[in-house]
Order: sequence, then C-alpha cells, then structure tokens
Amino acid sequence: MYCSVLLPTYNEAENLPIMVAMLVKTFEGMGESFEIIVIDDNSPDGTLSIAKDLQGVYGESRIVLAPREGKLGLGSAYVHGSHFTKGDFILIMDADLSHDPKFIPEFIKMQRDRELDIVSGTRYVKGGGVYGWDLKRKLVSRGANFLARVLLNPPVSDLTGSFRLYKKSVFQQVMPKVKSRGYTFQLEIIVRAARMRFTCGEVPITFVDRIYGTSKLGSMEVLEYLIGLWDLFISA
Amino acid sequence: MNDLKKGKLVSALLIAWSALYMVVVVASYLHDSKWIQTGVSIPGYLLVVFGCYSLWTVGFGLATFPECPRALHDLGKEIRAAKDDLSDRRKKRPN
Repeated sequence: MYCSVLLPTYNEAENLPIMVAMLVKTFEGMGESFEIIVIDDNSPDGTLSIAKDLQGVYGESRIVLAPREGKLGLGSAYVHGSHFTKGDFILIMDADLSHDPKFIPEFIKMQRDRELDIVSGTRYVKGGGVYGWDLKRKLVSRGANFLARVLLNPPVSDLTGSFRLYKKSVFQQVMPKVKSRGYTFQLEIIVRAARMRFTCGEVPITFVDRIYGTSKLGSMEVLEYLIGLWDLFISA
Repeated sequence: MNDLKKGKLVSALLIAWSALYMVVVVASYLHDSKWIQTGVSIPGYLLVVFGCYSLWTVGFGLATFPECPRALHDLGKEIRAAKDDLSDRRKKRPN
C-alpha cells in the first residue's frame, strides 16, 4: 500500500510539526510507503514555511507541498491535494491533533481484511469516543446524526467525521459528484459513495477536542445543515 | 434507484397519502362511523409515535455518548514522544 495523507492546514504552525512527526513514526512502524500532502491556505502564522522546514527534515518525497492562495474550503482542498498524490490510497484527517495517527494501522488492517473501498473513523461506537465535548455539542451531534439516518440511511455511524481512508480510484470517482461545501460535506461523500455501491467499514477512534469550550454552532449553521440534508435527500 | 425515479416515487407516495387522507376526512363528515373517525386520527398518531421514537433515540444516544477520558493523557504522551523524535531528526540533519 502507498498511502497519501491529505492534510489541509490553516494556522497550524504549532500542530503541524507534531502531526507530521506522529504520522512518520506511525507509517515507519508499519513499514508502509507514504507521503504527506500539506495543503495550506496561505496561513498568516507561517504554517507553509514550517512545512518547508519539515521537508528539509523528512525529505521532499515524504512531505509534499500543495499551497493555495487563500481559504477556499475543505472540499476543494482535498481535490487540490489529490492532484499531487502518487499513492494508491488517500487518507484524510485533521491537522490539529484531534485525530490520532495511532488508529491508522487499524484502518489499513480493516481495509486489507475486508478489501473495502472506504474505511471511516467513528467516534460513536464502543472503543471510540470524544473528549472535551459539552452537553450541547453532544446533543447537536446526536440530533444531526439521527436526522441524517432517518433521511439518508447512510452506511456509517459517524456522518460528519473527517478521518477516512479511501482507495484513490474511489476518491476520484466520488469527489466530482459532491456539491455541498458546509457541514454536510463529509456526509455527502459517504452517502454518494454508498449510492455508487462502494463498500465501507468503520474503525472506532477517539477525538480529542483541545479547543473545548468554544461552540461554533449557531442557528445559521443548523439551518445550513438542514437545507444540506434536504438537498441530499432529494438528489441522492 | 436513480434520482428521478426516487423523486417521482416519493412525490407519488405523498400525493397518494394526501388524497387518501382527504377522502377519509370528507367521508368522516358524510358518514358518522367510528372507523372513519379513527382513520382520520391515524396520521397525527403516527407523527406523535415518530416524535417519541426520535426523543428516545436522541436521548438514549446522549446518555450513552462514548467518552474517552484517557485520550487527552495518552495524546499528551504521544505529543512529547513526537517532539523528541523530531528534535533528534533535526540534529541528525546534514546541514
């Protein structure tokens, strides 16, 4: 397996070196070929120059830079980054240390054992979980999940999760069909993939929210999610 | 099932259900029947049942939300190990 890790970054100058070091350690421990594509959206905190420095430490074949001119959205970041990949698998994850690379071997093992097209991390089953979420956030999460399950019957329990392993060919087939840019984005990928008959499995993961206490969800975001769900229900 | 077929099926089902409901409502005025009156109240009842099911599912999910109290501690250890590893590699760099 040759795994290309897509890391969209914005103001991750502090976390990026740690994330890269953890990823390198994990993949070297498995003996698997890998590369890390850093997609920086012109971060004002100098994330890109940190990434260049990391290239000097780990080599340009392992750290690939795919910078962009500004914040252009997560979906387009994945598509942009995928153009730079040489691997046959794509792994997407957050660069802020909320996703722990220690689960990657389990993703790969599950993919190999069951020959799956997609392996998705889930925070919602036993063995997984969250740290740092208050009651409101958990309620919103369960509510959003319930609505999506009723309307769309998706193949996974964690619908907004962004820790996923895709076969590159599957990723390239699904991404052009994905239209949403907001909170339903990750959900749409998995729903469209299921409709296209791609197989999907789940691995329990832990999600550590280190910026706990700040809730970014307001009534506009809720409305945006509901509209996104309805659009997906009609079209998928 | 493709988009168009599903859209048509959902619309057809909604129209059929609404038409049936209208027939039952009109019939309930014309005919004083216990069965028809029961039929008129079924959609409302089903909505309440769905509401109760939603409350139960979301409430239960909230009460049993998986947490990982050790994860922060474990992550802290992994971060320290990663920082040390990176520091070693920087020292070993030729330039």
